[in-house]
Amino acid sequence: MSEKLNRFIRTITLFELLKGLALTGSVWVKSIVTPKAVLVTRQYPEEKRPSFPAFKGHHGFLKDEDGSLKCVGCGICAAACPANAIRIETEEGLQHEKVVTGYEIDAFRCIYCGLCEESCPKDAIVLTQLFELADYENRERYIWKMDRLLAVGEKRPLFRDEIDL
Amino acid sequence: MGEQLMVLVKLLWQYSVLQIVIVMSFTLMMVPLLTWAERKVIGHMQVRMGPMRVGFHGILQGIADGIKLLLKENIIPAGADRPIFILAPILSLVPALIAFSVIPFDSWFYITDINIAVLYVLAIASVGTYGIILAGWASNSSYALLGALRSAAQVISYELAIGMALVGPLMMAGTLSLVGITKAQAQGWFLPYQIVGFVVYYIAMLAETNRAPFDLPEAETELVAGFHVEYSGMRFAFFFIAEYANMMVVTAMATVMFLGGWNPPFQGFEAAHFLQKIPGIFWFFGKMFFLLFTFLWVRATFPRFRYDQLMKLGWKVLIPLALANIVMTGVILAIRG
Repeated sequence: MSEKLNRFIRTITLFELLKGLALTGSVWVKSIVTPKAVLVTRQYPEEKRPSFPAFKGHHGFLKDEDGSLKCVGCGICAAACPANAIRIETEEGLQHEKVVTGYEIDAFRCIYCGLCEESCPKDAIVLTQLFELADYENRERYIWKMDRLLAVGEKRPLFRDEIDL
Repeated sequence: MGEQLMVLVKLLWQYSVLQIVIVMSFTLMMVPLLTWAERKVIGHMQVRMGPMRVGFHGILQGIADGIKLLLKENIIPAGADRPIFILAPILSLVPALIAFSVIPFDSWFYITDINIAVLYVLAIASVGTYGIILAGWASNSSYALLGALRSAAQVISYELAIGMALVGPLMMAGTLSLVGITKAQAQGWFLPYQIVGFVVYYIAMLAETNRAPFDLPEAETELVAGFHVEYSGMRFAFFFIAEYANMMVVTAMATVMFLGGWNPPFQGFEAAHFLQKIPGIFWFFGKMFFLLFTFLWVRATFPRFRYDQLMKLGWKVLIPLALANIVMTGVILAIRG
């Protein structure tokens, strides 16, 4: 009986409804007093969060300590690539060695799986934490050439505004 | 030249032209601000920020949306009933705006004072529903028709509750004029005596304006957008403005009928007499904006009613409560003479 009475009183005084209103109301007041502590929204272009270290973003090409390319042009990355996004051009050098003359990644095809990085015997290619890959200009800018890859590999930027691509 | 201007202004004031211009432009200015406030308040209650881009903290968002809607194409579906389809948004907006003609904002500022003002507002509010029903019918879309039918049933059920909840204050004031009702509250608001009537009126006015948790006619998750699915561009904006203008009308009515209109609170106490020095128009809009805020607050808090729950609440709870309130008020008034 007391259970029923309790329920009746709660219904007639709109107790549960007022409780709900108190919750949202207190959140609102807190959000006005200390917006930074309550509101979780990040205002993206002004306020950026770096991606996690294991993130697979824009590719970077690495150099040796002596400044020469780590890449030997073996082509394993191109063979491992499931999206067929890598194209390598090689020539014969003066000492009959293999010289890499062109390396291209097609960003339209790339699925950022990281198999190129895993398969590389010389650890010459890495996927960096740079995640802002969009471009406003023409589509050719999505075919990433050697100079762009080298610049990213050298600087390892977290955000696009740290590097001029 | 200056004198002539003064004479002209006085004439315009005397024939209510100036008041009409001020009230209409104020109402239409309030709509974008209210949509901004709604998104902002609900965003904050849900730990989000809401609009932040257009103007300071997104304050011009409503105006940007309005311009967008103005520039968009007005699509009329192939199967639509053209004349009714075009008429519906107008029929929805005009009653919402003309209801302001009897609202007294202060003892010196109202468009007109007629002796049947309460009846007038209730009558005009029911005409506004025709806009919704015709829109749903003329769209030739099942979702729109479902929304319109829900709206018709809902408004019929809740208009009774609204009308009867207003009878209590009417009995206490002894007049149907809104100015008269406000003046009758000079010694104290009706709210403490009419608390049941106020609660019934508040719930019914949420339903009457199709606001959450009674937004079944435009339930996004069930009916896409309800009665206005097929509308776009400026015609959609008309429905939008009408909804927000209706919100302002019902909150203004609640302010006048229960919260003392332009009268400051605590009139009975000597210590609170300094409150009289603040102009009445501030008290009026303070109360009205607080009620509008609670609309948004309620929307951020409660989930939508099911259809049968809505009908049950309206017919089995609110109308008996309103009737009991009328009887109680009558008995007490008779005893006190």
